[in-house]
Amino acid sequence: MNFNVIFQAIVNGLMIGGIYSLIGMSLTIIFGVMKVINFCQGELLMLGMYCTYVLNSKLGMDPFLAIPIVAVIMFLFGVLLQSLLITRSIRDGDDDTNVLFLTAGLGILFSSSMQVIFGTNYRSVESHFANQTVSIAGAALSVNRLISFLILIALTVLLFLFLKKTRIGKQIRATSQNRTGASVCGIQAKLVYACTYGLGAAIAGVAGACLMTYYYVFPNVGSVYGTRSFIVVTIGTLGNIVGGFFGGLVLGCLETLGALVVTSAYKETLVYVCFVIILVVKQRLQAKRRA
Amino acid sequence: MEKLKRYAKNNPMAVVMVVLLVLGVLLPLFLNKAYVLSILCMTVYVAGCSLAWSILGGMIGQISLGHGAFAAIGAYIGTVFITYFNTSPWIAMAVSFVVVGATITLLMTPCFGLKGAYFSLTTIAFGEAFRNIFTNWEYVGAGQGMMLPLVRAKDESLWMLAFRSKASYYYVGLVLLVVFYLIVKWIDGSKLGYALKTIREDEGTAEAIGIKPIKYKLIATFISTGMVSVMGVFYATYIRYISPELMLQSKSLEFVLPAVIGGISTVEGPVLGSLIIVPLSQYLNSALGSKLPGSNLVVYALILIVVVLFRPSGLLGWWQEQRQKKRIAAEKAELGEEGKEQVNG
Amino acid sequence: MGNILSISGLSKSFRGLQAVNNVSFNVREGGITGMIGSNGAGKTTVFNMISGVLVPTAGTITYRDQDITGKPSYCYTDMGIARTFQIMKPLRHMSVLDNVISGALYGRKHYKSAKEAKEYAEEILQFTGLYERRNWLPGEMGTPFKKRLEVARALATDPDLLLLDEVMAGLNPTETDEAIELFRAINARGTTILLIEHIMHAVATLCEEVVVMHHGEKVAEGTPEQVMNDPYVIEIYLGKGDDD
Repeated sequence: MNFNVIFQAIVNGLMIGGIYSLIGMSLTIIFGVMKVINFCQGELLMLGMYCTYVLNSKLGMDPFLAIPIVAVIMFLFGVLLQSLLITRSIRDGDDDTNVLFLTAGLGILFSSSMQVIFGTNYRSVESHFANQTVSIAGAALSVNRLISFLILIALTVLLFLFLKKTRIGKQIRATSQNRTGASVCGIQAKLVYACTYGLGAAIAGVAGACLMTYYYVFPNVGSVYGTRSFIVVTIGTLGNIVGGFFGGLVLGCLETLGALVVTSAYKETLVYVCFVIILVVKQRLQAKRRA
Repeated sequence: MEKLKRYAKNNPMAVVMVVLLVLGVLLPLFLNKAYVLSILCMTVYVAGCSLAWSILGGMIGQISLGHGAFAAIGAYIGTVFITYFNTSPWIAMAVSFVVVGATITLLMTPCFGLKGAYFSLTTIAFGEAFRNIFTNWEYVGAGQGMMLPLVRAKDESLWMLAFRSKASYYYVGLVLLVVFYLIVKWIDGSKLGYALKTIREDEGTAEAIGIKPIKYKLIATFISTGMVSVMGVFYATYIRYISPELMLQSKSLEFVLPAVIGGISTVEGPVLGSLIIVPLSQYLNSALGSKLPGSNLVVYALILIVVVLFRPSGLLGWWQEQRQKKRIAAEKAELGEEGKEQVNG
Repeated sequence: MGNILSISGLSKSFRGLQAVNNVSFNVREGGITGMIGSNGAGKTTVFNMISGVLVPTAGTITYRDQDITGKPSYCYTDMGIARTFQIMKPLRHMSVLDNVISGALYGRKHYKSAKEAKEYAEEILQFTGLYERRNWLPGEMGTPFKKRLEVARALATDPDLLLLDEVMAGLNPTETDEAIELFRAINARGTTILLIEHIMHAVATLCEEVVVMHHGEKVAEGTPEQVMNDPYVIEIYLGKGDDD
């Protein structure tokens, strides 16, 4: 195995990891505030992809230019979803199984609705930079992936500024640290929940739009990314946004480097085995620290 | 007779189950259409898997989202036994109960410290890892999967579970379902059941009264995954074509949702949930499948969402809550005086 | 009679915070021993170590001449130790009777089936005054009864030593007196009781021996009269604490 192969694998891993980071951050921000795992995160990404597809095929909009529109649509959709449905099944003192079932049900609803509307065909969009590549230090790189990666960086920075500087951002952080304390201070939990879920949906939508530039969409595309998002947040600790960012990049590299070790056929198994090990080891360490 | 009446009054669910069983036995005699029979076969299959799932998901409260894959492993074992060893699926059932039960239990042992959704995530991971392995495993047909030969008249046998009529498969499945139901019902009222339910309610309390949670989680996993794989063997002989698709996460959800709709912590819930949801979804699939593919799943998902939002303990769970409320209201009225005194005291 | 439980040099620190520091005391077999102290004095931490929920940083816990330090909590039932929780932990979806049956099944009586355990469980319910409510769910009863259920479930495991963690908190005076009667009756059946409480009145009437804790340390020990007249105890605890 020479250095170039490994370098190329790392670069590819980072590019793939960019999408994982986005979806992971979107999941983790929702968890941070509401303490529930959203089992339809992958489907939100899928909706973002279809959104981009429609904007592109009906209005001829370049997928990258569509990103702000997709983000706004998904934000509003997320706010509606949270305030109409999900909030009803979150009860204090009860365990989170009902939210699990509800969001899993929503996931089925989204993917099957898209199947009804668009059929099961794979669909892709025309992007301005399709098939263009650049070379960085000997590693070939598709322009679309590179731009997506830059968008990830920009979005992460924006997200941080939003959480640090804006009023609602501060409220989100306060609620995620201490729900009761925040509501005592006069923060409206309902509003924060809705905004957070909207934010999570919007980020997932942006991830979808980026993915759309070099991948294709079909109704079940979300399930792969949904599962990946769980792994990302586990690597980076649930609720931790920085963790989500790096967790995604680590997972991407784990996949591409792992493929070199165990052949690409079994890379999935490797990823899942690593995931379970990380999860269990983390829990053990935590239990030890507490005792 | 008096005794029987009293029993029926106290256990209305038992009566319902007996009536359903009689109906289930008689139905193919009147509606002997391939279409109806295939719906019935799917219903008993899903109901059996859902029941098996409920031991882990309902009684001890560990939500597994990998049971689709575990059932599929059973299906593979059954198919391999028939194709390569020419051995009876009945033997395959016994083997897969032990092998799948033990393997999954062993794999999950380190994961039992994980709470709630984290545990579910590991079951997803195991399911997906198995799917990946089976997709690349040439011995079991890799991505194409495996096929059992069509049954010819001279090959028909109960021992090999090879029939030409779907009714025969249905009866086999129904027997399995009844056995599963009796097992789960027995566990529910047994000493084991008390341990499982106590752990579900509160692990700290369980430990304080001498129940070792990890031990019972292992037992529940063994029984639950073993049973679901037995159902998988049956499914393989019925459908006669299996592929890694069976291990998709959505297949696991197919076993979870009937239990959620029926009532996750009730014994009869998974069966009733399957009776409602499977025929409906199969019917919609054949009625709308060609015109609007996916629309059956839309209806399916909507039913689930409505139940989770408005009857979070499931239809049967809700019914039991209402009964409980009524009974308590009567007793409260009886104790009314005493209760008030204590409040004021 | 001798000591059923001896604690010596017990310490526990959480990441540098010394919650319990070098606490030693004995629990006499057949008696009722109380432990009092203001909030944060480390009472519950001591309790959690005695019942195996937490592992001590240092020190030993000896039960019937047997070192039980650091044993996991599910081992305690068979040895004859049972506990209740300060934050009530009823089995919410199981009836009161089932709550107690569960305790009876896995307690020292070692019943084989729920049927066998039922009679004993009903006896416990009669004894604790819950029998009329046996078919209720814990959530359908008021706090005094929920507290009784905690005690009943622990009692169903047939313990020699019963650890009660603030079972009288939140009860009004009448209910407290009823609870005191219950604990006397339990003690009369031969069960040793160690209880945590900060209601001074309850501790004074019930206990033969009292341990006072403050800031993670034992500051006094003796009969209720001795403790209540201890100038240091009056200064740090009774002076401001006995107002609930």
